[in-house]
Amino acid sequence: MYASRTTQLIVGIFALLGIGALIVLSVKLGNVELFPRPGYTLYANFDNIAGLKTGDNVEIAGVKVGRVTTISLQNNRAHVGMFIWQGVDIDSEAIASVLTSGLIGDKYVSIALGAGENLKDGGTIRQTQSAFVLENAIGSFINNAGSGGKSGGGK
Amino acid sequence: MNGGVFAVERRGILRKRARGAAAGRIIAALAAVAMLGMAQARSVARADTGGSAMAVAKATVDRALSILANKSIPVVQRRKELREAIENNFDFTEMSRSALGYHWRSLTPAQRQDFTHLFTAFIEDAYLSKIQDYSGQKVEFLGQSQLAPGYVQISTNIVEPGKTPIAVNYLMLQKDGAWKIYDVTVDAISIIANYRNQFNRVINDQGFDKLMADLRSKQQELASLLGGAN
Repeated sequence: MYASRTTQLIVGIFALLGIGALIVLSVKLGNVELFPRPGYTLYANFDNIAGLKTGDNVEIAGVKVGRVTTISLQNNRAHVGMFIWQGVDIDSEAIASVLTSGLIGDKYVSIALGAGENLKDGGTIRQTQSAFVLENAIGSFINNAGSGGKSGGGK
Repeated sequence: MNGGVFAVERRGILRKRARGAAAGRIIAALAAVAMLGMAQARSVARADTGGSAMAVAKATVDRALSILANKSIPVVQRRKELREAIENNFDFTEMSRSALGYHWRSLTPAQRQDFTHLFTAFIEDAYLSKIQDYSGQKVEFLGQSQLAPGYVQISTNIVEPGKTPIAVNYLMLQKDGAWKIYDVTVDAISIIANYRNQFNRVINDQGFDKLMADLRSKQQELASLLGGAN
């Protein structure tokens, strides 16, 4: 009537393997770091981060070097905390820009290195470039087109 | 089973002791923060917090606008006066250093000097040639904010009746007591950051000497357009 002990054992092992596989799958997909890499935290203040969220990549030359960990409002600017992996040096004259993957993809922070001294844990990147907001660009394009041709002032 | 009740009691006592110690630590921490805060406030009060940065920016822009508006003197003369007005208030060494970014580190002092001279001439010629475009726009000073100790951002709007105002910010730093401009952002796009990206690409793909050659030819082209005004 009941299956033999061995069969029950085998079925049990398979079940455990299956559940284990599901756990690995959900951890990977959920982007949860079970074994966090060593690193340090840097901050940057932006005027507009337009859609950047925690977990988004931090990249240098297109290579992921960390991720965004905290976003808060300070002095009417976006105060962004970034976790940078060990071994990646970012200096005090670096420029942090909020860019978009492709035209309408995820936002990420791109860092252009400078010639300063390396920042330590808790340091702040002084120079930042805010996100490009498509609506504003369309708005000023419409305005300038409407007023009849090239605007006289500017760069 | 037996240790049950006593274990709870022991835990309670340990927790009370821990809370007391923690409270002591919190008070110590608050005191330290308060002292740091006062020290910071004192140092900030002593350092120039940008009141004269605004004054320098205003003076530069007003002088530039008055030169631009003065149509009675020839264009060549106006450009010369503009060049002089600018050179005192912009920190071109800082701008050149920032425009090269990471690559500045690997240059010899001679290369750095060459690049600074060339970049200065290039920027001046590139923007001086826009003089003709000036048609009476006014500049509104909106205020300033501190980016970091010794670094200040002055926000302005270029207003032209009938068009949306253009947001122009001047980033200034304090060197040897004087405030100088080291970057200009137009509609939130930084000019120096833009050059950093471009130059980085050229240096990585073709090398520093190619960048110098390209800049030189561009600058000479602009200078000849300006009619050799020096």
